[in-house]
Amino acid sequence: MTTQEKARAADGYPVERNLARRFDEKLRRRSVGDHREPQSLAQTREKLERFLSGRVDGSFEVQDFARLSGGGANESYSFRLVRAERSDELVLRVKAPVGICITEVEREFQLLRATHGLIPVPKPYWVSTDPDDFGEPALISGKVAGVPSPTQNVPHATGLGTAYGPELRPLLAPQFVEHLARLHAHDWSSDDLSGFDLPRPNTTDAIDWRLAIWNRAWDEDALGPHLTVLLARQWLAENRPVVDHVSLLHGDYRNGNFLFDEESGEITAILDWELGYLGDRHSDLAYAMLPGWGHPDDNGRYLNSGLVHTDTFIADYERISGLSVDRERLNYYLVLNLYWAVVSLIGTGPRTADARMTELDVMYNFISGLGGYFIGELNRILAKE
Amino acid sequence: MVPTVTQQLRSMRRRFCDTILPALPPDAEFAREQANLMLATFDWLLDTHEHEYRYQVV
Repeated sequence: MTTQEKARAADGYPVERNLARRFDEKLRRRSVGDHREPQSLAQTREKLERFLSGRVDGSFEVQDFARLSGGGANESYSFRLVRAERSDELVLRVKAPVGICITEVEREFQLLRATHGLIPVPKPYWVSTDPDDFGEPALISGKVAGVPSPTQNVPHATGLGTAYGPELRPLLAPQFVEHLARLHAHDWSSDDLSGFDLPRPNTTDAIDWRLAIWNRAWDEDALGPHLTVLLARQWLAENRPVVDHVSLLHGDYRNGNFLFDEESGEITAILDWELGYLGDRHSDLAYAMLPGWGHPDDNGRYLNSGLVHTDTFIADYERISGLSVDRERLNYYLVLNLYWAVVSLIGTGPRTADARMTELDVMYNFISGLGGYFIGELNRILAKE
Repeated sequence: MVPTVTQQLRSMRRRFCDTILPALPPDAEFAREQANLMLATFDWLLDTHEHEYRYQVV
């Protein structure tokens, strides 16, 4: 164990350095009642123009600056950056002081840079970790055309996640699997991932650090104890599998988190990279297979993320990535994903809302109901174990 | 006799739906999203709050 690892483990939570700083910052702000006050559109636009003036050569103009809906941990704005001979459609995402889980903008930016050109993602332009720029860490990326869910022939949703219907599904499903396979097979050794701690292959580093995040989040945020959380935590600690191959992971790979062109059925961008990390591919796979995201097809067979049957998902993934899928590890990461979803939905979200550290307080309280659903799923699995 | 919590929630929901939501500018995307979440929360409260005491104590 290195000195750095010893220091991190000493406080009981071996959380990655960048994320540990965000945890500390959360506690500091919460203790002094440092809330995020609402920002007017004009204030944010002014900050954006000041930020760009230090980064864009020559004259420029910000046009059509508007607040966007959606997003669980960001204030998002779209705008057009017009320069002498070019015009770019861009998105500014300003982090909430605390979202529904701890994330770090530099990591997200580096993931976008590492994957841009490999799979469809928004082009990363600039990142700011200086609170003088936007008040909070922020990221500017390209705006990608497409929709997150069908707007025409909208299928009747039978699950919690986005449904695509029989016409779009066969177009989207192979791409959904292929992009994940390419991401996990990617050799990231020459990418700038300085915002990440690098887990050693054939150890439990990656899972130890991941468990530390959710354990710390629960301990610091939960408004009350919960027996299922305690049982899940114990089971996860006792059954940690070794990570044979360290992959770049998306962390939130599922239906609803990508854009697609409705006419062609082409996936235009994989979104929401803030939970990305270096770890076991089974984590992303199990997450995309979470009960709740998908629904049965007309013959009653479950479609993971509303798109693909399990056998097809695994066979195509293995063929494209060259990486094997271990069903036992899938089960472990199913429990891990349910665990962190519960920690976020019924621990961090309601606490963040209560502490007035987000403008998404109503949503965070509302979606805690989904946490109750996941608690039920955890109970079902842990009872078998 | 004062109105019950359910009656008050129902009237708040009605006014929210019929008066406040339509008055929001169509391009106020974020505000509309938050308003719809508030509406969903009203519905959740109406569905559950009368059972909450029993759930907690039984």
